[in-house]
Amino acid sequence: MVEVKAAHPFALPRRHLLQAGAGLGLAALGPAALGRATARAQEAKPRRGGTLRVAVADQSNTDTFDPTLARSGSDYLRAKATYNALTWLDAESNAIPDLAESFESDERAMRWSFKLRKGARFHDGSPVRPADVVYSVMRHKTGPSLASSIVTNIVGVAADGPDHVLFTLAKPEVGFPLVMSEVHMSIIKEGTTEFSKPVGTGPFRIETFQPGLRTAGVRNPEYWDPERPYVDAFEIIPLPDMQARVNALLSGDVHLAVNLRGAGIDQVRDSSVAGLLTTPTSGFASVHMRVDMKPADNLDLRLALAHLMDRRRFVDVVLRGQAVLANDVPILPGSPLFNTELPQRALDPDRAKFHLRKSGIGSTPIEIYVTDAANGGIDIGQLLQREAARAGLNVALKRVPADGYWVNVSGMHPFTNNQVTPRPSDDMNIALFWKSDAPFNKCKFRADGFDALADEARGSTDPTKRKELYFRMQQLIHEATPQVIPAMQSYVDGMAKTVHGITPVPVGYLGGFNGLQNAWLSA
Amino acid sequence: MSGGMVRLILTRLVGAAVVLLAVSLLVFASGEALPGDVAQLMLGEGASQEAVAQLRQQLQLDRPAPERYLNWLGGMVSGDWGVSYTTRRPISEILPPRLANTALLTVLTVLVAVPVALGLGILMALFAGGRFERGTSVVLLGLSAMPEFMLATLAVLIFAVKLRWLPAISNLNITNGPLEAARALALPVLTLSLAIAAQIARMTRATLVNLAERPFIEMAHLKGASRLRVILVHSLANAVGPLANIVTLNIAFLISGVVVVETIFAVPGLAQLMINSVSTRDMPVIEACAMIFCCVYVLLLAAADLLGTAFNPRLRRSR
Repeated sequence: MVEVKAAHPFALPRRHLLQAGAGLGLAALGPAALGRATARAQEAKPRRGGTLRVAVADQSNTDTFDPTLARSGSDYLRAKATYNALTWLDAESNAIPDLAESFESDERAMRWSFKLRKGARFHDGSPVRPADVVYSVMRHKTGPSLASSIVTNIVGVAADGPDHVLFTLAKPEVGFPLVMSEVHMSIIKEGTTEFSKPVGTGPFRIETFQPGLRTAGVRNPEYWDPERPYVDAFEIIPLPDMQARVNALLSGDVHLAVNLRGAGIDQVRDSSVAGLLTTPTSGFASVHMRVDMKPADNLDLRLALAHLMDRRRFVDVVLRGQAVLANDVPILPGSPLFNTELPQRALDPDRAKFHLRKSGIGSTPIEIYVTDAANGGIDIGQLLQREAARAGLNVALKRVPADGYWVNVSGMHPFTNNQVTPRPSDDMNIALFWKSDAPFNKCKFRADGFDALADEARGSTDPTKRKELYFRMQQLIHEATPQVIPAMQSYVDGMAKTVHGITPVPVGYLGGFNGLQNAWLSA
Repeated sequence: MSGGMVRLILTRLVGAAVVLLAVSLLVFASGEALPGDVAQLMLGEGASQEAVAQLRQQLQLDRPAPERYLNWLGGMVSGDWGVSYTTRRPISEILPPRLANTALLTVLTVLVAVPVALGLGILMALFAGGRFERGTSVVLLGLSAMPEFMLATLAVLIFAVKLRWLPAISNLNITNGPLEAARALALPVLTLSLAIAAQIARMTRATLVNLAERPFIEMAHLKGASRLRVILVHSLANAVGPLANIVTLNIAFLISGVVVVETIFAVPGLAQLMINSVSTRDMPVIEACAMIFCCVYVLLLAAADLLGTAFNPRLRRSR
């Protein structure tokens, strides 16, 4: 993992310090979870041509090409087809150069310099300049942006000569290049305010963009990578109904169908024309518990629920095995930072009864808000309810619609479903969801010393130290148990057997939303 | 047309207008009742309170509900349907292409389903009691009990996945030419046709068979008219009123089927637009779609009533 791969000669020298998760992680998951995609990528020489058709799950009139407003998976997919960010991720979640040829930092990881790729041009022919990068980043600071919380650490961004951009940070951050790989950090032309006909530097030029209906683009012949993309054109079609996506894949109308669940996974796995593309991630669905709200403020009640969760059944039956057992901490088991010293929690009725007695909850019912908006959220509730009844705890499920859930319900009651989508780095996850001032710390979790540990880990260049700090943080989360996290879920996509070249990248579906430029079609 | 008939039509139209006014109130009220507001949803859960308040003001959501209702109703009547919250495009620009696709789907379905269903109903009445009639009855009963989403899924499984004759999705793309468009529409039209044709055929059969017991039919038989002639000439002439009523009612029912079918086959129609708008709380678009659907429904119901009356001399005269 330490050696620099030939394909990315400008990689950061300290890259092994960064979240180098999945290398070890994937090995631990076993061959089943790896999917066929990895093996297929090494097959033959890529073939050019063809139109790649993708069925996505989300459909909205708010579909956008504006990087500050990218919200849905299909927005991410569209953005990756059209734009480049300064960096990108490899399969092990290391930052690798994309629109930046190389990057480096000072000793303290406070000042980061990115050298722009020579010869990179926007679709209209104009060259990429530092001012474009400054403009793209500053939009998150000055205007409405869904990513304003991930740029809080950036205090300055400025041109440094004709082809360098210099970032100044508030606090040291060794994983900063990973932040710059985010879709929201896509580079647009200085002054752009209109996105119906997007101009990027990316592998495809957009020909048709009808929000909620269709996005189509053609190969950018001037792309700075002479090899990619391999296909001549792509088309993205929304099919919100999962069965419709599976049918479209099996009938050959689309090559890729994202977000398969339940029976759809079985159907595609058993098919002769398509297979599964599985991407293990640190994303999860959970029950989050407001530690400042009765009755969820009762630690014994939270621990009882953690021991009433039948994690194994959730993974095997509900998720069809496309997940890894989790231990109520937000780090992917098997990745280097995962705390292996904490005992793995499992269904344990005796422990649960012990904590229930201690909690003094008695026969008072507790309400858990569950929803389809979290993948498997309702199932988590039902599994808890079943085991709780046997242990003498009265759990009532309030099933609420997915529509508007995150704004109106999530975190508003003592027990609610939560869902976290994967981020490029664990540092980002901790800063967004777990620190006491985190914007999405809806459980109101806080523990003595936790924030200091998080800040220190973020700026620590010593891998042993980082691991130690992460172990402590996980211990604090595990002790307080503000969330019951039963499993880290994989993205499961269906892929026609004629599609090759897409390798899983653990931040999103279809190769981290970046599969369109790597895919090629066999005859 | 008699003066009575004209008066009847006018009464019906006034009635329809009153119903639509009530519907507009309901549509607006249910939009208000949806949890969460559009400003919060548009800006996401991380948005600051000031930003949300600012957007609410921009969209005039801070005004009292009755004032907004009256503004909206006034605009609706005078042809100004407002601007979409999320895309900021005028609704009069968003709706027409969607409406055209939905209309195409519905009209094709009616053209396919109605003649087939009437023919089948007549055949069943002709062979009432026979093996053909009983077999067909069982099949039709099964079809009419099946919800559209199941018919659609089965049709896709058979014709798209197994046989691979037709595409599983109907993302109508005009550039692909009329042949492709026809192929794309085949499965949605088939699904909707099965759903309504089964009902119409069964009701046609029932109407014709009921007539067969009436004295004037017996008389026709006694005079030596053939079975075919009795059904086609004597029965059918008397059944036109009820049949027109049945057909129109079923076309009205078609509207709910269109919502399901557009979702499953990804037809870029009005129903799909409405569902998308609900998830983003784009109230002006939701309200416009709802009003169009309700208008069509109310007018079809009124038409069903009028046709039933028009073809029944006794009812017509009693007014």
